Amino acid sequence: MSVTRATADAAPPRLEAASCRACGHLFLPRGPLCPRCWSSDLTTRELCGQGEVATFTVYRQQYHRDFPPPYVIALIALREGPRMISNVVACAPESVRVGMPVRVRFEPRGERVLPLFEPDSSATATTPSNSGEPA
Amino acid sequence: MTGRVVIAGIGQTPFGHLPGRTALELEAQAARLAVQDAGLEPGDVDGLITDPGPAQGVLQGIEPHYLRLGRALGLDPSYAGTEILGGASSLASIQRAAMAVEGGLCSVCLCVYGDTALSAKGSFGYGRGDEAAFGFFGAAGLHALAARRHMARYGTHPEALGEVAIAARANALRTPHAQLREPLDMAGYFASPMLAEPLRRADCCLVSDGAAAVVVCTAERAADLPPRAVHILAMGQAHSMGTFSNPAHFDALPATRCGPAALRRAGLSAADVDVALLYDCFTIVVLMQLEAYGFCAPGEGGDFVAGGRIGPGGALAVNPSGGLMAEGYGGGMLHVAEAVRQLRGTAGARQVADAEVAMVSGHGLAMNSHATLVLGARG
Repeated sequence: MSVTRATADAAPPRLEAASCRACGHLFLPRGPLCPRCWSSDLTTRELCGQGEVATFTVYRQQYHRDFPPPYVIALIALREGPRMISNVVACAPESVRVGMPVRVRFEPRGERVLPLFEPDSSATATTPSNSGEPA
Repeated sequence: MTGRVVIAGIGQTPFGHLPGRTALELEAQAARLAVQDAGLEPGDVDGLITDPGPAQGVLQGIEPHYLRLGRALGLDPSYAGTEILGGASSLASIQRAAMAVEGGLCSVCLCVYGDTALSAKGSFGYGRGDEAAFGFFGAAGLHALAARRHMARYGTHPEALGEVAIAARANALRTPHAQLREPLDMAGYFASPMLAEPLRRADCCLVSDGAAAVVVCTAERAADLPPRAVHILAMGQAHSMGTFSNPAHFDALPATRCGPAALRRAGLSAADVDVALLYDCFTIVVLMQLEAYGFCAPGEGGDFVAGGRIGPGGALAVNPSGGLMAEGYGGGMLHVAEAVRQLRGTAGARQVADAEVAMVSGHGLAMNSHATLVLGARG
């Protein structure tokens, strides 16, 4: 996973994105160059871990023995701009909505620590123009 | 392009569960039928572009699919290749054939789709890259993200998805060769098991064994053939590479860029289309394409299909043979074959009166790739 450098035994996991020194573009997933300006002068920037659900699905069919349904797969629009696929956890799948504020919550899965998301009750339920929530 | 290249012949095998048949056998049968239908001989074929389908795969060992099929057909063509645009591959094969015959690389180009996905019991619940670590599997889950987004943005009801599935089944009842000839009503739709909300099993296309082929040549070459050729008026292709990074990816298909543009190049708009053959891997993709091609405004796909308006006798003939959801999964090649029958006026009980213009779409991968063909009964 290109999303984090999380390791179980080292420093606390951080949510990071690739950052272009030339044009300032922040992006996921990390790649060989900035997909906006093609500069290869890249660095890494920590993200605040807050965002909102751009869209989601609740799996009702079991596809893999490690993933018993129901569970939520969501496209998270992070506050700084990048987007990523993750799970929304710590709430009933039925309560998830497009536009719902969420914040990152790291959880171990096997040998990895994954950035999952949970409802962010502290956030004002802002509705950015691309959130998709009906007015 | 406008009419200088034609589809001169079509051929297809039965579609459904065909145990004991290999993909190669089926492809060879479809190829022979298409060449016969064009009024040509095997020795006339000097181009081959293939779409090996989702289960068969592009490579067997290091051998690409066109080599296996070309060898079986005894061809030493001037031009050959295999398309790898997922569900847009069949249309892309025809586009490539059209460019090849117009560019002088070959004169009679065979385009073949084939697979035995049903007998092979292939799973379409594959993991989606790194995202499989979160439990993100299958094409249904991916398209469910688009369906949910459509519902949130526009208030689209689940019934709108049901209408698409119901229309496909109703259309297939008039298609003797259709794989799934069982009517569906709204109660039946809602009784269908949920896979990845809001998509149910009834929102998904079929898995099939079968093959279909078309013959592409110049209009000039076709002048010596039986007068059954259908003209390629325009073509288009567009891609959205950033599946999760492109903020617009789940809001608008790449079809919004290539569909209306292709119609314009043919001097047409959606209002001129008599028959729409829309790639229908999932119901939501039909709604999104009706919007993308301009049959209705963005967000109005649900209203557009309400009340059986894309079913038999409806306002717009969409996939009159039943499409991927009921006729059979034929890449996009079955869609092309039906467009050709409609424009020839040989579609039997489901013939659209005076069909002059058809558009065909192909939609591939994680909603990344789209291809458009605009076809005319006349050049």
